[in-house]
Amino acid sequence: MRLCDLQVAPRSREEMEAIAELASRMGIRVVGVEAPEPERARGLAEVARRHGLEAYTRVTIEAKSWGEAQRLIAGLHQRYDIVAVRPRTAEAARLAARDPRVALVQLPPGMARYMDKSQVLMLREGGSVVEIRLLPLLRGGDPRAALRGVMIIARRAAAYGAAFTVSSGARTRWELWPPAVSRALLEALGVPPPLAKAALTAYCGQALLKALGGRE
Amino acid sequence: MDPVAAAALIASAAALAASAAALRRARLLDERLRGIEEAVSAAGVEARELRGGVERLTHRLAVLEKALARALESYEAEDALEKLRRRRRRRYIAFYVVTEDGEPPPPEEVEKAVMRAVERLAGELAVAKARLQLVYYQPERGAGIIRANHETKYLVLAAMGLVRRVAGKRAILVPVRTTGTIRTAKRVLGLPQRELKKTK
Repeated sequence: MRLCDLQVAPRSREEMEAIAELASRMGIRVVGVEAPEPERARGLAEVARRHGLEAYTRVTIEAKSWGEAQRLIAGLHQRYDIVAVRPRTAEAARLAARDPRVALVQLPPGMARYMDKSQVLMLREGGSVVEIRLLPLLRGGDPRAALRGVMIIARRAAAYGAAFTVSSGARTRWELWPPAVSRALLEALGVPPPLAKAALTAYCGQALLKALGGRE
Repeated sequence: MDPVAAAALIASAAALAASAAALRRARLLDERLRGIEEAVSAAGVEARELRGGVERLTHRLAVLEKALARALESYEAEDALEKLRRRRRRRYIAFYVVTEDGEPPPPEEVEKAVMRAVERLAGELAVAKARLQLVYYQPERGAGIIRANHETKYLVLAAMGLVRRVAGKRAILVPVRTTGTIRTAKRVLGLPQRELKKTK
């Protein structure tokens, strides 16, 4: 069982060192390292590998239109291991899920309109994995709005059989989420225990399989 | 005898015989009608009796239903009471604290931070239900064990994720394992044998 966190976005090598050290103490084995330039991401991933982690480079694309997103994906998917899309509309989410180059569809907890049953089914058929970012929960103030978002996305994805995963989106080690805590959070929000476990293990594997499928 | 008179006599005799037969039939019909009337009235009486019987049966069934509902209610109440009577099931969450300066915070601050996080996440009732208590803490290693009710285990673990500052310093609580006894929790933290024996 390999626990994973498919999004860490450290700002420096030192921070990556600290994140990798704490992540390996927490029991995380697979990380997705995000950086704006592919060379930098590869360098940071190398730092994580030195700490015994399985590291992949990753990029998150957010564009105003799907056409623009596709242009970005075409340019980036050969240079990063994992391509994630943060869609702004339901249509963009559907198209992103169907794109074979997109492994993760990131749905932030503060969405204006959450996905409904038909959208979840389309995401499932597309083969992409829904990614829930936990970083908004750590913003100061009342966590209820962000918690509600996480709960709705996780429960709907679980209810209609879509693969979903949670990632920390940590920029520093203080924003990392221990896997036991992420799992307990999903279970406290009503996700069945086997699916909560799969969100940190098997579904990550599915995302990696889609991302690396066909590549070396 | 005059043949005409004889014929008239025969005709009147025949008419008499016919009227006698009609009278017999009428009597028979009357008897049958009376029989039918008697049967109908007897059936009416029976129907009334039957209706009365059905009403009595319905009433008895309603009484029985009420009694059954009460019995079920009391059974459910007894079940709930049985749950209350049962021994509390506790869970021990072994964890360690990672801090900015590497200096573990005092135990009361750790306990307060977890309680505040549970309250923030699930409210005061959840804090009361969880019966949170920091039962063991090793300040030099920053390792501790927090006790919670088994029903609120996930809630407490999830709340531990929201703790990002303890005593004004950046910190993360990293849960190691959840156990059913404090002894196992101590073993998970890798404590020496003499520390384990303290729980006896």
